[in-house]
Amino acid sequence: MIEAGRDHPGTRALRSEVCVIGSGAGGAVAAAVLAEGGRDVVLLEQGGHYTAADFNQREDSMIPLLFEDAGMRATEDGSIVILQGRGIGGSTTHNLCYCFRTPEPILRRWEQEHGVRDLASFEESFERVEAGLHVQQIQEEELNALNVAIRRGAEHLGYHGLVARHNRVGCVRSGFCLLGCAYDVKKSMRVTYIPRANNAGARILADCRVDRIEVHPGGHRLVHATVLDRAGRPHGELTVEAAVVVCSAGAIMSPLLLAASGLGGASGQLGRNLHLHPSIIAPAVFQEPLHAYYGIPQAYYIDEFIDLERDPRSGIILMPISGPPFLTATNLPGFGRKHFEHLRHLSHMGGLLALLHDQSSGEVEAGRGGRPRIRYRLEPDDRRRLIEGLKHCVEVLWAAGAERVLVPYHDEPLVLRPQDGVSEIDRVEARGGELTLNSTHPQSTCRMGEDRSRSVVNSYGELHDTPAVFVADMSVFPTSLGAPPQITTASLGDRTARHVLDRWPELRG
Amino acid sequence: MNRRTFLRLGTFGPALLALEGLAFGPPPARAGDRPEPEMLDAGLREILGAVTERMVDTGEPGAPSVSDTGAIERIEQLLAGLDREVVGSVKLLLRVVDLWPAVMELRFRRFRSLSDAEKDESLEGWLTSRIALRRQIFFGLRNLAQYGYWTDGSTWPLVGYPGPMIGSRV
Repeated sequence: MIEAGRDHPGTRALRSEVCVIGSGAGGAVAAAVLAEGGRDVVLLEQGGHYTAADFNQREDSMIPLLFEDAGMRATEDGSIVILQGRGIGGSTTHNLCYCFRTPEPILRRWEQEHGVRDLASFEESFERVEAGLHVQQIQEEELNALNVAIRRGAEHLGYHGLVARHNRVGCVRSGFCLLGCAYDVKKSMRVTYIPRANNAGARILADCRVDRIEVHPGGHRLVHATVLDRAGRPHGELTVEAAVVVCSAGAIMSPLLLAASGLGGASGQLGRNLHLHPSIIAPAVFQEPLHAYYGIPQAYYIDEFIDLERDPRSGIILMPISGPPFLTATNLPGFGRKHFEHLRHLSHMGGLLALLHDQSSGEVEAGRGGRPRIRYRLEPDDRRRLIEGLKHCVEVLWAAGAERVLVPYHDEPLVLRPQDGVSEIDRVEARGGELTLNSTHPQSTCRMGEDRSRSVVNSYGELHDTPAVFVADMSVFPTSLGAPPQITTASLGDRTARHVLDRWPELRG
Repeated sequence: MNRRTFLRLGTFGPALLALEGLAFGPPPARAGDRPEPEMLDAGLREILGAVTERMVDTGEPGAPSVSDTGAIERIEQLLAGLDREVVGSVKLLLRVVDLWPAVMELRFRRFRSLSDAEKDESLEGWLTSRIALRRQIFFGLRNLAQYGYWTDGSTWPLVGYPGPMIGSRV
């Protein structure tokens, strides 16, 4: 059973052996593995608990429920919108199911540049979480019209691409993955590891915002949380006493929680080294109706422009993108009638996004009221790569049959037809044209490594400066990942949890 | 919508609003309005309505109006789920946008009193401003307006969207 904190006002105190904070890909897996390993686990989640019956495929209902700040989180300068999940299952409830193992060259880089040990255990964790999430190859007949068109475009240009592996079984191809799966066929944490944790005896509490972790020298850890009501207002307090804490609140909130607790700051790296995998979206209009808001949204991808063996530090992945009216509208230029002239073609629309394996970095710190202040500067080389990726998107879309591609520069939106070529993009770039970027993969703010002066946690996620407090989420990636992060994050949850079990006699204190 | 945008508005919003009291007196009271809503008062609802109407104007005959779609109520519901400081900034922002044409564009009338063409011109000024903060404010407001309007089922036929599949096609 998952307990909704909103139904439990007042003050409560719980005791457990392990307290896990956050129920996304890292926390859910850690909680399940620890509970199945015989540990008494309490899992706290700030967001609510929703089931398939709640997922009505409507943007107005689902966006405020499933996204932090109702999808309005962004960098301080507003240049990058950051979509992050909330609620039981975290971002796995709304993600689009790409399942990539951590690329080998990235693992080697983590080992060589950051001293991360025991790479073999990653491989074992990949196997386990892929089984746990029912990862399988998408079948040909499951590609929707947009994905088929994009593949056609890539093949026409000789670009390498692949049909993806996903964590979905018996998909009905409705296409509303981003708004939560109403059929429970997406094998998110909510329907895989969370029930496993529950069945193994973990107590799972939604609507509990963790405010700080108190460390008692040589003894227990005390997790202080505020219990939220239905409107997100405080209406109770909760403490969880535990021998071990696993923090899996994500790359934005984990460093803030640790900083608020006075933990993890010894290296000066806490909250720094933020990577975002920033992306640019190129929407396009096709002659034939695609109805790309239906069907599996991202079943195919183009990896022609990322070769991590050759260059493990940079690259671009191209992915199809589509959505229902509001989400599409936000990615189109202008307002009023000019904006509608694009949006009216929604049923003929589909796009490609260019996702950057970024070297640029930023930082997150607590702003007013303890809310995250996110700074990120896209370095000129990364900007150049991203724009090259944008041009590749335009060319692929044309080759896929698009009549026109929109490049939504704020003050001079471009409508590019095949006969136009992509040089117009260079012209607008040269005069400093501005585009809104998106990110769904913030990472690296509590980075992992063996050098205590350069990293926040060790090779197994334990804080260098505080024993028995672990971090297991995207914040521990030592570098930008260069691939969608679901499997890597889940594997870190698995790997960290097994490490805790192995060391339990020592950690229990 | 960019939350930081709203928070950063605090850097120049109050200065502009200080002029409001001097030049225009308090915002006009509207007798007979419905009881004060939870999130926005009548004046702020009026500004939000005026902004939303221009942001989502389709020019299509028979297109649902902003009030037909309940867009403002939907936006208020969204705001109700956000933290108080963000909502406070949204309110400040709406007042600044309303006052901007009067003070900064020397039109001597508030945004909500302008003609449609003048409103579009004023919004265009926010969109194409050289000041990044003004552009961010524009997109924040635009996204709110789009959320209010395009998530209503009555607008979907305009863009050929058949709607959710639940209960119908699967």
